[in-house]
Amino acid sequence: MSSLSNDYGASADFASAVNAAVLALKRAVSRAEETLVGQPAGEPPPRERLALVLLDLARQLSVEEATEDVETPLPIPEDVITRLKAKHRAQLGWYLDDLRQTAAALQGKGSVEAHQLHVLDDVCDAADATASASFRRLWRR
Amino acid sequence: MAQLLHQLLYDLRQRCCHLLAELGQLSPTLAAEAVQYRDQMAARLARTGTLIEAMLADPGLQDPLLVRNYFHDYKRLSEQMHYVEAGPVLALKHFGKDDLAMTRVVARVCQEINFPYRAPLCATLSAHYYWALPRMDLIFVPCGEPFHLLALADLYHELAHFLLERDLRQLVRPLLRLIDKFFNRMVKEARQKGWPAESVARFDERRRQWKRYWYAEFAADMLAAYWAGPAFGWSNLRLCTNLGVELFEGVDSHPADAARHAGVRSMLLQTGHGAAAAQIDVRWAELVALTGQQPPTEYDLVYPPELLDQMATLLCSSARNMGLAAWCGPVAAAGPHVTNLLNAAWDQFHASPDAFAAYEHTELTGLRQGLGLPPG
Repeated sequence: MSSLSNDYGASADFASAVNAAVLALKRAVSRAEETLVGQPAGEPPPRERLALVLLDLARQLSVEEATEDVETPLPIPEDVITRLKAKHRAQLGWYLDDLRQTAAALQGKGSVEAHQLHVLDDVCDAADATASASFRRLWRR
Repeated sequence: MAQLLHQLLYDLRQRCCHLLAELGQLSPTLAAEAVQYRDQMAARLARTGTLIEAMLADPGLQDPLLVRNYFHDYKRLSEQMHYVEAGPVLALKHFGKDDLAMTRVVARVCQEINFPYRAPLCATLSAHYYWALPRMDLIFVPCGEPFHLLALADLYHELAHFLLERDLRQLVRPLLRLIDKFFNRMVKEARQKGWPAESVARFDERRRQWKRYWYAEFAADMLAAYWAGPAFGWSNLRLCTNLGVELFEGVDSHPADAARHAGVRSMLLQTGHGAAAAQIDVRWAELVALTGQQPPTEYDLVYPPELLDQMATLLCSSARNMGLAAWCGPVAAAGPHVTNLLNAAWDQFHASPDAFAAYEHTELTGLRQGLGLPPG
């Protein structure tokens, strides 16, 4: 059970962190487009963190053999990767492009488009589902 | 869409207030360790309550663009509430002398091993053997454990899970990198040897198993062996004898018992306990003979001995760098030394199993006295 507890801890932390960053981004989008343009000063640091998560996700989804782990701020739980791989299996190439383009938008000075917010929400959904499933495994046996 | 969340947030707030009230009404004679723990959990609940209030007051809850993200946040808060109710509040409401005894034993162990975090509270409520909730600083043990010595080394395995949840950079990431590097090499070699594609593909599933749960169980076993020495190896053997089913087959969350035994051995060799490891191996072989089981085909591909050895080497080095104390033999100590006691207990048990009960009682009485507890 302790490893299930570890698993829940990791997946809940990831889900919470990604969700908080996406929420902050969406609030900025809702408030004023100008805040997304220009230097990152005033932009929440989560924007860059999200970009790194997406790039790490793309890296882990795109190779048959995993390359060495890059030090990203948020380690991505295995089950999140499995879920997204299963969901986008039929069009994985396009999905990887979406991830990389969204990451580029986050790292750039321009605004984030609606379809890129959708990419981020997709990751949030997978992270949430993983955390919830992990929680159920821990407590409902 | 937001009505459901808004309403359930009121329910969550009410539950939070109730749990806070429960903590506030705990017995005034609660032991100091439990009072301190209660205060920590009350502070956490108060912070959770603040988050709930903030969400209730947030106009963004009605924004269709944001509501799904609020839903995700709500679920984490709901899970947190369940965690506190099923863990700390349950433990505190039933906290008695046996729980205090185990809590003090754990605290002493934490001092001996240079545990880098606050010592967890211990609750003797478990119907599922030993298990831990690191997020809640809590370890559950079976109700009989305050009265016995031979399984107490499993406490060290549970303490290891705290490190595995909290020390990503120093422990977890290097382990996951090691696993990736190993399986990358396996895949490369398999392809070079012209293995069928399905055989090569099975490495992917094995890698996933290792990285999902198994690495944590192997690592917790190895750290326990690092800290507790042969006592953990013997305790593990006892557990596999009592509760084991298929020694060579793992389940989703746990690797095979035989592989775990091999992992423990690897660490005991790293910490200079080769002779004891050999003795444990002799008894392990007896267990295997009793079961009549044999490793299935591809067992060594699922649980590569080389990977286990590499993990033990890496963990031993990481543990030393973190300042964690390995047990290298009896330690001179003022007052009771739990790790000494557990290893001596197993030696005594082997020498004289029929007289062990009296020995155990005497040692536990001395331990309780040394920890400032009344006799059990």
